[in-house]
Amino acid sequence: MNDIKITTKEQLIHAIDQGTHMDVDMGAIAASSSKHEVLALLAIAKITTSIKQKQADFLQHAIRPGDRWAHLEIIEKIGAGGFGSVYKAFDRILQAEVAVKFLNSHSRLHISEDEFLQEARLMATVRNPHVLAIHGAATDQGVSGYWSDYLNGEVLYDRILSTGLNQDEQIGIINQLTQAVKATHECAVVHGDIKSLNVMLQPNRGAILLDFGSSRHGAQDLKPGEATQASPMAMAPEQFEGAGNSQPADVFALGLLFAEILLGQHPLIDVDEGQVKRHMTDLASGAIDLGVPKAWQSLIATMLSPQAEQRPTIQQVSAQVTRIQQAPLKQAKRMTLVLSFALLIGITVLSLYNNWRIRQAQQQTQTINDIIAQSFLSITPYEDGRSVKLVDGLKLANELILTDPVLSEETKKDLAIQLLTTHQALSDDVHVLSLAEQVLGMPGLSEQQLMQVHLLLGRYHAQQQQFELTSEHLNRVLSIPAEEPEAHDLHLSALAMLIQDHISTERFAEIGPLMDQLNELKEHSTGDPEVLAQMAYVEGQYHSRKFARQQSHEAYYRAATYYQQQHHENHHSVLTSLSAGSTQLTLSDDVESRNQGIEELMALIPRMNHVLGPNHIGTIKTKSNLGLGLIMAGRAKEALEVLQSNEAAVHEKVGEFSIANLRGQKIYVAWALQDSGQTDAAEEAFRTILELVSTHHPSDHHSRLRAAIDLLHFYRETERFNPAGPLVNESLSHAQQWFGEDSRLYLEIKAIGIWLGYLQAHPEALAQMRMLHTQFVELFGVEDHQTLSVADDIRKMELGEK
Amino acid sequence: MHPLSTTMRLIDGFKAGHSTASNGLMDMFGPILLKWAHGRVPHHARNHLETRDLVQDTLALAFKNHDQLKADNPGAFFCYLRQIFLNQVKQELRKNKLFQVALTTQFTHDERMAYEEDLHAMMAYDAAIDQLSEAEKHVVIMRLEFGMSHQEIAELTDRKSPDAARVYFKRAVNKLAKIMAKDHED
Repeated sequence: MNDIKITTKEQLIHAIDQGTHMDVDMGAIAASSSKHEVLALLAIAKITTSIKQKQADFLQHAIRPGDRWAHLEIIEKIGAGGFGSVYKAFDRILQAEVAVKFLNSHSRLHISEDEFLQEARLMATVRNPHVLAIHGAATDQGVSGYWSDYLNGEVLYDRILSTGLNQDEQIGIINQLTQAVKATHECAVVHGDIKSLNVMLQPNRGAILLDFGSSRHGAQDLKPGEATQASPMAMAPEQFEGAGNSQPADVFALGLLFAEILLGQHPLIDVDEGQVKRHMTDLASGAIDLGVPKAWQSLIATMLSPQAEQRPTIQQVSAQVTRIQQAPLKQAKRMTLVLSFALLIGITVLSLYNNWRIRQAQQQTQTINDIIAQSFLSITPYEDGRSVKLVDGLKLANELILTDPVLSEETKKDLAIQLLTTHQALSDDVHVLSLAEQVLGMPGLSEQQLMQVHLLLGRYHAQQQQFELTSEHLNRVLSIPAEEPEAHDLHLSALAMLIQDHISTERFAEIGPLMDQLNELKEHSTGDPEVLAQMAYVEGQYHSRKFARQQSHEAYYRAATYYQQQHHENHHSVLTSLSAGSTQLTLSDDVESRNQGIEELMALIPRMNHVLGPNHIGTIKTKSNLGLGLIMAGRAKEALEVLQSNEAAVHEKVGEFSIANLRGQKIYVAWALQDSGQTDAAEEAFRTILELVSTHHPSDHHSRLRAAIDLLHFYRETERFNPAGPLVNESLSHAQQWFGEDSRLYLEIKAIGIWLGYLQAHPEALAQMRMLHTQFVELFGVEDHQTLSVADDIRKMELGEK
Repeated sequence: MHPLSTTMRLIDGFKAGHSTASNGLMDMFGPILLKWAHGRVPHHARNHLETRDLVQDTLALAFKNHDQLKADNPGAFFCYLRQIFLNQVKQELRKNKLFQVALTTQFTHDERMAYEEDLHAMMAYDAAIDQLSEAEKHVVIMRLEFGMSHQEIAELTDRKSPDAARVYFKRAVNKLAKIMAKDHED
């Protein structure tokens, strides 16, 4: 932010107008203006800055694409209406895109949060393929919402206006909407706003009735003074007189919709908005000729009766719709029977068989949905600490599944594993272990199911950094022979995780064979983009560890492409893979690649800020990586700026004392300080990191030694021998104790110790370094980056360089 | 921002008692008010006041008596909502025993002083705003508190151009500072 030197009152008012920061020269300004007025202007500036700051804080918390809400990832806003805004989101439990509707803050005037969630509960009770299915409801981060199927079809209103409907489509849609309203009324729910704008035509599913924003239980009536939320073009005559929503009013609106479908336009399309009430009454009294096909005339006329009690019930409408439909069908059936009786039997048998299978599948899906919806709804709305509540829901769902009398044992096993997967993905709660044990205790688990459970346990232990247990479970997965392509995918995932595990613990020697195995298995994969992405990501990490920056960059970018295929271009996995790839370039030795990487990250950050938000871990990490890239490019001051601007977000998101902060952001800041010549501040930073890692992560020996090595490198480069000596000895002793004398960490510390000896003219230094080089070659090979680094040290020693 | 004609039509409709107009106004002003309100709740009171609830109450009060609304332009409507909200905050803080207890027991001396200082400055500012002419008040509030552009203000206050709105705004701020200075001297 550029501060402006303000010397006049006019400049001060201009700065207030523009909201810019100000640096006031009081001496200059007081010469031409009253001191009290200047102080008053400064007070105004302070107040307005404070207002804007607080507003900005609030806006940061508003829901935006890339945010997480409950277990959903918000993708984009797709609409607003009724009481809420609707967003497209990704449901990590269902692994599907959903539509989530949030209650608008200003809508609380009309309905309370509970009433809003009641809308979800009502909708959840209606189970019909032509009614929008609700998957859950929650209150998270102070915002209430519920989520349902994501539909991307065409709105009936638009379809009627654009291409129109043919006769088969008209009848199909009328039938489907009748079934939808029938299912709604049978659950004692009134829709309240049936119109073509609230119907979506979805390929393969037909018409789907949406937006129960005006719905209520039939038994309830409007509160005194409350008006219906129905649109005037779908209101029954009595509603113009103040009556509330009711089943007869729904039938009236459905009658109008039938007419619109058959006529290709709303019967009152040309009527002025102010005249709707009068025309609606005329229409209901039969004064307006609808002009619909004869077969439908009488049904629609009765549905539009001016007196609510004279209208048919939805059951009667349904029966009449069926009768009208069957008239031509009966003829067709007779014709078919005469022409090809045998063929018909064949088709019928096939169709019956298919129907039976579909019904079986539908029943099972229905049961599963019911169980999950029931378990989630029974614990909503979530309060703060939603993960605990979510875990409660998952536990409940598990119990319900296990005790369900209808589900087959096979389905129970599948569902229990599915829930375990969800549970593990959402929470590191120890309950994962007991759930897993429960699943492992289920009789007759298939090999593939066993693999799934062990894979999940491997992932769980990896999260807990219990690497031995991680390896144990992943090796169990790999020990089970894979025959089906899906089982190969599980092997691939296990291998990918095992490699990540080895990279994390710097066990590089075993990675090569595992990578070979991974490449072999690739051929047998099902081609699931998620698995391919996972593999590509691991390849990126692997090449990164080998300092093959370009290959690593390509692998990460490949991962991004696969993730994009699986999700969408702004999915966090896509963006973080791109970020990891570009970071590799910034670390490259080649100046051009480095600059390219920096440019890529600089271009990516605004996108991540926009899509994921500035406080998303991916955005934070990318900024840290940009800081690192700038350090590598010798632009330490810029790096320091980027890193320091990221500090608060890092603390908030990953915690001030987390390893991610201490071993990432904080180390980068220390390096940037060192490279920008602030050596005392840098030393303080390195020492603090070591202290914090030792205090807050006493059992993370790897991180502790890495922090010590960073400080030792600093001592080495700044030739601070006094504090370096004791730290080398202490670290060597720890490395020997924790990882052994053949470990990379031990040998790396030893190399620093020898170099420090060389700088202090130790006569044995060169010989010691040569011996160490031999050890490195034996253990890690000639091409290993640290072997090469030691070789370089030897070269410098021979030439007497520093 | 909706065109001036829409806003005016909705305000007129609301004053005439049309419920669709009040819904339209809520849709239009609700989010703006909520954003603004987050800027106006005193910092130290934020844990004790639920801004969304206060905004909800404000809108409920604002739309309760349509025949009492004096506002005849969008700027006046903003001021009307703003005033109701600020009264709500004051009332809530007075009523909120938890906050009173926190102020005396949980806040450190420095926090209490900072709160008092902020409150005092804000009161002086609000008192001075009330002494501006209606038109000046609207422009200052729309610009400084609601963060509207001069283009929007020009449209909503029927001024010829953004530049005209800017000049008017700067004069009003100058006047505001003079009033605050005079109040202080008095």
